[in-house]
Amino acid sequence: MIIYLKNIWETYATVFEGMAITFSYLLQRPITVQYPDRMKESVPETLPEKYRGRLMVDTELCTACGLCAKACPIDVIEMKGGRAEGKKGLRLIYFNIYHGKCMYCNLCVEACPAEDGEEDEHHTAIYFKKNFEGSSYTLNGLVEQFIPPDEARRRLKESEEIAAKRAAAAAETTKNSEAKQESDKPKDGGDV
Amino acid sequence: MNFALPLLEKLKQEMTSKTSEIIQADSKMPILKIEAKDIREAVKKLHDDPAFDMKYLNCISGLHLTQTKEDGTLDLLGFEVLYVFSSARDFSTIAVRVDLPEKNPAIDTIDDLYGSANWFEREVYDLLGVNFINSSDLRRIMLPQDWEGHPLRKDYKEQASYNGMPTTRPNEMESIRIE
Amino acid sequence: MITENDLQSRVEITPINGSEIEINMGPHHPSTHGVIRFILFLDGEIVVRAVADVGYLHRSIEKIAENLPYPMFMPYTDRVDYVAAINCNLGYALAVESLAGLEVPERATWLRMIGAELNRINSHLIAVGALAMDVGATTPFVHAIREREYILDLLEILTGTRMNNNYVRFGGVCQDVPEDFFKKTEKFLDHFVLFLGEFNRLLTTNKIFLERLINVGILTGDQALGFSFSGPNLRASGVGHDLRRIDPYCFYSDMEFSVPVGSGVKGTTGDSFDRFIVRIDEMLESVKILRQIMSKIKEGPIQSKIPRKIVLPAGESYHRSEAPRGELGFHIVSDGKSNMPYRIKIRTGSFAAMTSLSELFKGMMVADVVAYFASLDVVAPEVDR
Ligand code: SF4
Ligand code: SF4
Repeated sequence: MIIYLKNIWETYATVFEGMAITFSYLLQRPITVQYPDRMKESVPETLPEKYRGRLMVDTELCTACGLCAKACPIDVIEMKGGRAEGKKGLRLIYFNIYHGKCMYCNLCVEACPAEDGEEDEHHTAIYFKKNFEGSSYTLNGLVEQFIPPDEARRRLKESEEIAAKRAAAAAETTKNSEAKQESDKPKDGGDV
Repeated sequence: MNFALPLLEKLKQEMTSKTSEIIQADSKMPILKIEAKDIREAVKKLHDDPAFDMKYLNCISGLHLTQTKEDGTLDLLGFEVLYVFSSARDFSTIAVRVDLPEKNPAIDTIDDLYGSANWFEREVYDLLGVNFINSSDLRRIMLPQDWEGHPLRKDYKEQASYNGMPTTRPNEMESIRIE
Repeated sequence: MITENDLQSRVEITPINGSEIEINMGPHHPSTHGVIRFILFLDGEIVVRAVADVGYLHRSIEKIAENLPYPMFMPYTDRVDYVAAINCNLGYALAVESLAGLEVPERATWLRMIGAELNRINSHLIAVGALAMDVGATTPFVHAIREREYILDLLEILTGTRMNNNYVRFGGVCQDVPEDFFKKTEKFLDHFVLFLGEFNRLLTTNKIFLERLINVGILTGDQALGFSFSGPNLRASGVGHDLRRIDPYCFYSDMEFSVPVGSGVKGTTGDSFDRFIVRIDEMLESVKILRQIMSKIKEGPIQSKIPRKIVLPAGESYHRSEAPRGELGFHIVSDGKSNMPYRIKIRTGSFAAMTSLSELFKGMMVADVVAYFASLDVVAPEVDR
């Protein structure tokens, strides 16, 4: 009987102890905040510098080297580079990122060699924005094309033309050099 | 790592059949390679002999042994089952390895000695198709019971659909390809 | 997964007689912490027989590993145990580094330890909070989640993400931290110790809570060893098995911390309450470790030079480390030629804990089943991988 009463007493005592803590929270300011309309500043501003939000590509900075696509474990990035008129090196033809598959692992960013030198907003060509709101109504809406399709088609054509031209030119030079080789052959054994 | 080589040598000496050998002796993890028929003797010794006192089974792992031939095809060489035990006293650890043939790989179960062995064995059975003889409950554990094949085999081909459900899904990137 | 026919044919079932009923607990059940299913055969409120059924979250991580180069597999280790992602990263990185012989700079090791210990506290908070909720106390869970939120904020500064951090790289970590991170962590730790006091007042002394856990699901040390328990679950049964101690990695051998073991403070050694209190104590130990790290960490490089293509020497190895849910082992096999592993097997603490269920559930009340299972702190993706 005594044990029974003691148990009841202990139960009430400890429950009220817990209640006291719970009630003390009634008098404190809540730590939750209403999102997004009652925030003092927008959420992305409060995030740390290297927050991994939505993946972005700086199409001007990108040298179309393809290292990011190679570093990605799940083929989130599909890209292609090609020659352009009046530009040294490669230019992006298309660059698509499927956000629905990306797991924000940072491997592509670490692989990217192209860096922006600016002090305050230093980033690589492929980088994470702080924006994290990226929902879409369809799966397809999660595919982001950084070069618009029309532009991409135009660039593809241009690069193909240049490539064809170069191939022709190369064929020409090889023909020439072959001809040259022929003529050179008797002199130095022909191993150019 | 405290993988204990002396304990392995002791075990090797005390085995009745003398075909066991220690491999990777100079690496971080020396392994005693024994024959499949000796597994119960070895494990019983490890479990019951106070000199070993290996009451703790860390893990049972398995793998498919293959060799890629020059023309790119696979030479199937059988299976390996690796047991890792720890001593209950000082937690020194030893590893025992058994090689099994490619056709009908089977090995005696140890689930009457270790309470956890059954689940570890079931996983090896499920993913590799190694049979554990006299097991108390050998069912698939990860995959559905009517799944075909054992996925961790190197020559595994995934079935195209399971009960009418396709096992792959379309790539969203395909719809926007321009090439 | 089990279908009805399999059950009838594969598990020996005495036909259900009049007093016995069969119920399904899960796969979607609030107290199974993910998708795990139990088939319980009840006589009244007593469990006569139980079958645990897992595999609903099997993502074939081990098969994926065989088709990816070593560095690319790192993000997948996050998903082995998403509540303690950095611990899994660390286990995998240590395994590969020790095989490939890669150096890790000092600061990187400290940062890894900070990440791992913060993650351990985070994980234990979930464990004790969820345990409280499963036995009917909703408020403590909210408190635990609130504290976890602070840790996630810290991890956000440290790694850039809140969960699935993918923070550790071979030979280092992926990014350095700003100096004010340490101040914030210091502040959090001070606050956290106070919080644990409050949490104890709220929960650990609560009579109803105690009655639900004391002497429920008792596992002796021998039993726990036999079921391959590890981590807090094994320590709660009175076995002082902590891989940070017996097989030290990183700089844990220089750290001063004690390994809390269950001693049956309120009931019997190895009961559910011991598993609960060991986790609470362990959080305090982690706080101690974090404080020591913070006093020792120095400026320095965070990434050593590693070869572009990592090829491990041929052979196999089993490397283990202490994750919040126990021994996390990586059995890595390499053929010595390719830059992909030949086989990776991941041994996790939750998987081992699950092996005990069918045995232990026998003779328990249904309510105790929930309490016992919650006290094991099983996370479903870690079971299935
Ligand atoms: S973050 Fe990871 S998953 Fe996403 S695109 Fe980059 S490498 Fe691929
Ligand atoms: S790695 Fe950087 S520069 Fe290279 S293709 Fe990707 S984004 Fe462009």
